[in-house]
Amino acid sequence: MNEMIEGFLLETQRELSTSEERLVVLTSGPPTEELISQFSTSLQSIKRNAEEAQLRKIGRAADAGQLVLDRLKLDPANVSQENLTLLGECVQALRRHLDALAETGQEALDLPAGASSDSTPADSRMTLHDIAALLVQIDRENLSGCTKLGQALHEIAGSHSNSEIASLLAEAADKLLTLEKSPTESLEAVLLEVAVTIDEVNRQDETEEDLGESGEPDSAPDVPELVLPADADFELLGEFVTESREFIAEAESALLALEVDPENMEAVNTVFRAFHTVKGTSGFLGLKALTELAHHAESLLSRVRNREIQFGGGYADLALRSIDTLKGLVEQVDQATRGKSMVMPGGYQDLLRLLKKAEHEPIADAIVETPGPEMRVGDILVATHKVDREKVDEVAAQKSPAEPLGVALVRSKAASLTDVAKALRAQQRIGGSDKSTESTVRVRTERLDRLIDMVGELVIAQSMVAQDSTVNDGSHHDLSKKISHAGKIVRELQDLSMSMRMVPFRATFQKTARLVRDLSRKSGKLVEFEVKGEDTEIDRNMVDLITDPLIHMVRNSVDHGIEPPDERERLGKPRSGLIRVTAFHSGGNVVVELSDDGRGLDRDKIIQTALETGLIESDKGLADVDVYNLIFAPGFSTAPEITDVSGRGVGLDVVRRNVEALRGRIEISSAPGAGCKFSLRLPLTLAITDGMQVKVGDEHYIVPTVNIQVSFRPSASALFSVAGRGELVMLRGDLMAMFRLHRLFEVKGAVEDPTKGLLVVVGDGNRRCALLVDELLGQQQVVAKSLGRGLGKIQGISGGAILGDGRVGLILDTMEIVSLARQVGSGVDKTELETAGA
Amino acid sequence: MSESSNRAPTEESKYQRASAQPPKAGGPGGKFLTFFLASEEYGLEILKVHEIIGMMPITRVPRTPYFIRGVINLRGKVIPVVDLRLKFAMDAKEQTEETCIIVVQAQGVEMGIIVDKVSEVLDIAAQEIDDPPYFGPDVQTDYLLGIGKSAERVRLLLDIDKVLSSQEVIDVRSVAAVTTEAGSQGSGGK
Repeated sequence: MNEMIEGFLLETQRELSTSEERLVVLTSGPPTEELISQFSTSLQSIKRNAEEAQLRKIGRAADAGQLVLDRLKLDPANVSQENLTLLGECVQALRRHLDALAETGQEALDLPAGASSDSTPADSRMTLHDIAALLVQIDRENLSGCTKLGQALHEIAGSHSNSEIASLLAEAADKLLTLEKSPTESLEAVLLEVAVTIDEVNRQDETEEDLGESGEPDSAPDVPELVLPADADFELLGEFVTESREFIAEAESALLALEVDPENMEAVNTVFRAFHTVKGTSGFLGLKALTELAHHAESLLSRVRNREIQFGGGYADLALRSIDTLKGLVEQVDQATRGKSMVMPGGYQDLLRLLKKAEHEPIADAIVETPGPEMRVGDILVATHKVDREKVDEVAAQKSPAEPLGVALVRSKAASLTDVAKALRAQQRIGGSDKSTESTVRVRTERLDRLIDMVGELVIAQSMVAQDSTVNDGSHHDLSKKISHAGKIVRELQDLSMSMRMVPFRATFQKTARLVRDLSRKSGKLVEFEVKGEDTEIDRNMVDLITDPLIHMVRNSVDHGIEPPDERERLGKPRSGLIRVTAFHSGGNVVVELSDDGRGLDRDKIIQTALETGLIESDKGLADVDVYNLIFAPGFSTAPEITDVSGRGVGLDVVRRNVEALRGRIEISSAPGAGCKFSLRLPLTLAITDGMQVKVGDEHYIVPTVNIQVSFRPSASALFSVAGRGELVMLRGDLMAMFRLHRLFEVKGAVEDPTKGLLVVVGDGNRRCALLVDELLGQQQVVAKSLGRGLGKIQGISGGAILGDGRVGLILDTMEIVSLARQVGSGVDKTELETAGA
Repeated sequence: MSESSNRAPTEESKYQRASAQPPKAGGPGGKFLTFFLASEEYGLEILKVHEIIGMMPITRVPRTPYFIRGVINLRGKVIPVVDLRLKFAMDAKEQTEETCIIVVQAQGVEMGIIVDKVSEVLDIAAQEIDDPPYFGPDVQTDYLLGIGKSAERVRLLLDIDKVLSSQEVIDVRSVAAVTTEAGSQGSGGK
């Protein structure tokens, strides 16, 4: 939990500072669409992160800010002072929350957030935050919302405990109610006034909340309150604290012993006793929260004791978490006896939920006979010559899927019970020892990179030696044998060094699983989450970058894809939806697939929305894939209403941008009613670029292969010039600008005549253009490096790479080259291009 | 030499501050690597020098000042290379057997400089170093640490940080002419 908050702070601080900068820019001049959408994206990501960390207030503030921006987006020319003030307030509120979070840690904000998070979304009543957000949307033309908001405000005012605030709110509500009947000139002023009042009240409420949880009614029905009973005997409480601490300490060391030896029943008993005693005493003292937790933890342990479940994996984690939380609770009770207020430790509800139905959670699966890399019982039995391989296979084929192999073997009398039991134990030892030997050393990435560089150099140096004429003239047989031996070692070394940067997807997928659980709970849908290939490895740097897009897509699937259970039943599908994430290697790439069995993409709805927003002019000639790709356009959303999960249309364009920044590709396939599948195809590592080497005069450049659409040699009739300065080329009926790379880069001796050279088409959509080069030299994978700080940023060049001959090749940044060409003026700008095309 | 290139830059500069830059009274003394451009001899503080390598294929980088010859592959690292002749507004010269690249650390960045030939490593005491002469406001001399006069020769001691950090061509001819003249008069021979 703490780590989560820390991560959140780190990320959000950055986003917020850029947001603040953007606000300043926005205040100082007319806004550009790009600025607004960037701003909106920042807020979106703050909101999303906040939800993940269960920081509801921050989420709301960001949401409100986004609403203002939405409004600005519709009408960028109309940046009124009010909008800016509201936006400013939102950003300020965010800053305030963040500062509080940084200073006081999770409790200050997290507690009220956690306590209310379950009840609020389902609550039909509007909160002040909602009203503040909606207030922004009211404008002169449409005053009908005022009444609704006024009524809502009255409602809140009526139920507010603080009479002073209540009257303030009532006053504001009256103002709103009168507004619609008699639209005054000073509409904006009134709205602003109301907004300020609400903000003021919010602030007071929050400070109250932050002081402690006393003021906040704990509305979640299944969560016991953490309060001392009115008739608490402080002396008894003190004794309880001391006693519990002892038991907990014992239980902790017993749990650790269990880590090593899961069969240690004595240790299980110790833990059981600890929970049992705490449960009994806390029940007697009326500490419901402790009783509840201890009770569920106790039942978990009792099942271990009865050998219903085996202690290990997820169960062990659960037991450890329970002890930790229980310890936290006991400390809180200790605090309370000294007159301080009690604060519920973070994650309590989660833990309780897990404990209640441990079997239904994925953690349980982790230790139910796992196939795969671990040794199976059958294998062990065969290895110890107790049973024949054939016999095991036979039994395995006959047994019912739910029945463990060991049981089946005993039943079919293929193996004696003792043998199977021994094998089971051995299996656990193997599993256990695997974990302990996997030790790690932390190495600075800088050093690692340097090592990888040096190995790369070694490979080049080795190949230079291997290709030397002295070695290859056939007269030095021994030498060439030695050199090829060295070559093998070098290649192995290279593989090894590359693999050092690789990490499995496991952690990322776990995060996603958690998200699916939370989201499905929130949206009232039943979702199963299935993960395959979590051991697939990918470059360390990329794992972090892939998490965001993945989370976006999962949200999307849960929110838009999976239908509510009743609807699914009507459609003849199982009540719970299935989301599956699969990762695998394919042709030098890593592919991550996310599929669901929900509604699938609605072609007609997408076309309709695209037509409405002017994204396309007609749907003629659009293949399904083209239509599906429209959903990646910025601001695109077919969701009829905006939820706090998704629907504002800031999601998928970010996904595509992130994936493309990783030099990856994203593909969609979908069948209406049967679900939809996103495939992300990513390079194995960021450091390696798949490049096409091109020749221009004496220079060699590398163009990233992903940027190249096609290359061709034009015929003279396909070339046109515009106003004597710009050049155009026609490819399959499309006109595009042509730039001569040798002119841009002032290379001498290059091919001047396009019909003798080659045109490489780069860019996409309207920004497509053709670059003239002499010829293509071939494709190769190169390790991208910076050109060194001494040179600074060179426009059009994204970096350098060491080529096979040891020279440095420059990697072109095609987008920059296009803009460079336009600046230099040798090109045609877009308007000219379009007129020429028409 | 190769180990020195791996030394962390911070360590380098710390050491640098501690020993090689005593208060600038008559210029700092210490070890200098000397090299030639045309007939003039220059000196570089030895602690700034990482290594000396022979000429190797240089990849031209488009849209950079013309005195930047391009980038080279220094055992897997890509570093920029400056042609000191061009930087000092001298005529370009065909490369010879003796032409080489001195890899220096300027302002924490590794860079190569191309020189005609490397001469020697030399101890120059502080009292043998004169302040750069003043030629009036039009002639820049702040890229010089001083002028070394030892073993009857005159050497322009370069402040390589300043030389490489400026984006302009430095005109050394005026300074060189005067000092060479002064030196030859003072020591009675060239």
